[in-house]
Amino acid sequence: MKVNAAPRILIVAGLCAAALIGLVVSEGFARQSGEEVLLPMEAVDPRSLLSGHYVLLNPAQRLEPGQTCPTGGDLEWVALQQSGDIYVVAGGAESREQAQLLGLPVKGHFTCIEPGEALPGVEATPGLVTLSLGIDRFHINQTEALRIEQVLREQNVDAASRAFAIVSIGRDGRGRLKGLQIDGERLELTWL
Amino acid sequence: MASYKDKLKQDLDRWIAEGLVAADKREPILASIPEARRVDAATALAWVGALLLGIAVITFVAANWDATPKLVRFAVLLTAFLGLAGGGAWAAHKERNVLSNILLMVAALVFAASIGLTGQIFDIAGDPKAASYGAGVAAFALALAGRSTGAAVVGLVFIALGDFADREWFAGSESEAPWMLLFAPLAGYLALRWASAPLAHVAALGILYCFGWFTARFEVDAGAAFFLSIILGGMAAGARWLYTQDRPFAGVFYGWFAWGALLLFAIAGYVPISDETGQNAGILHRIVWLAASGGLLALGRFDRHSLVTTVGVLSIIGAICALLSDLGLDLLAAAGVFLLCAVAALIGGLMLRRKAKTS
Repeated sequence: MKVNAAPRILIVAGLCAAALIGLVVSEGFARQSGEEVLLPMEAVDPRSLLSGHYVLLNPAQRLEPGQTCPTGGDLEWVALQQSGDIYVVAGGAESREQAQLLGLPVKGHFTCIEPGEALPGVEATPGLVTLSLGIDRFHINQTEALRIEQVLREQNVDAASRAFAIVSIGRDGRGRLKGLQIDGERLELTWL
Repeated sequence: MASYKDKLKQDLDRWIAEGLVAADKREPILASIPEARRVDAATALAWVGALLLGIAVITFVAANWDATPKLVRFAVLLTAFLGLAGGGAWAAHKERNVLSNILLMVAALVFAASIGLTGQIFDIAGDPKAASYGAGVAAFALALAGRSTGAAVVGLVFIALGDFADREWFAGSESEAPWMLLFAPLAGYLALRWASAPLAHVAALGILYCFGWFTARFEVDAGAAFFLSIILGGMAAGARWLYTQDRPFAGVFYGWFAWGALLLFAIAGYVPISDETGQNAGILHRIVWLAASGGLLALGRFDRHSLVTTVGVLSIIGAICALLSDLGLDLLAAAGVFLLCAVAALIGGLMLRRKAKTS
């Protein structure tokens, strides 16, 4: 049976639209059903004005002098461990199973700068673990974006973090952004 | 600018004056040539109006994008895509092939933009490679459904973007196979089947890109590069055969493949043959390169193929520069090499002339 061009085009266009809707719905469900973790953030700039108003995200945790860098940063999986209200990097692993032995597994990698030891006349400096989960921006209206950016800039190195990324770790091991927590206020992504 | 019919009128008057055409044949000949399509003022104004309306709608949506609810933004994207694809289907039904082709090409572009904007609207962390491949596959599906060469070109461009995203190009045997290996030959087949020049050019470049990937995969090994240039030369010969059979747009492939084969051959000559000594093919390669370029130039003139002729000329210039660079300041040696090449070219030309006279 030969199908004419017009119905063929409509079928393909319908499938494309359905695929896009399916992507949005499945990602929404995965975000809702995943395990929620709080990750501390550091300030980064600049925002891209051409891509809409958003806050650039840089999940990063501080390492105090005396602490050591977790290993396996360039591997495919990262294990997260709970530390109080937030989650920190426990180490990297080649597979989900290996990461599960260390903590909560999530796809991604990290880089680490070792803390500097105190020397005569030189103060000890903190290290930094920067996490890369493929989540790098949070789209929000201009007013909120500027306020969040201001909070991130004002964060003192010695003070406790004021900004956190709320990330949902799905069954597939992917981290999906759920929102931000700024000074205790939750800004969650919604459908509207 | 004078139309074909205007030029023909002038030629006919000249031929009638010279007695080549009978005067009474003038009107029937001219009547057989259809009038060139002219866009009247009303149609031109309608096009301008439609264009400005489109810009006004896009500007209005952009101005209110931030304040518009997410689901409405998503609905705008889907409506735009489905509207264009529906328009393409309607045009195909009415057998307005050019309009259908254009609308499907724009629909493919809008769908690609929709993938990116959907990620932005709902904060879905996207993989640029998967997004580009998705847009490319959708564009190819639209192209096949509506026989749209424009959508196929868009598809091939997005497949290439997917191949380039996050790729370590010189990772050697570790590098992932690009999707272009599948889609470039498919586009080539469609270009020949649908007789489309733009698609033929893009498909030929896509196939050359695949050869570049193979060269990189073999970690730019001299033997492999020579082998690949011979294969590409063979493909150029195949395209030339199709060209001589009057297959529409096979000449496009003939030109690009000839260019690719010579380029790959030129590169191969500079890659070390042996890892231990680090020596490349040297002066022998440059002489073969020069001879092949001359041969291609002659072939391009013989086939009246401007792209092949141009490739031959450029390649000769490259080969001469390479030879001079190799021989350094030894001008006597350079003169000897060029004399040998000139004698070989003259002998070849004379032999061809003799063969043409005897046949």
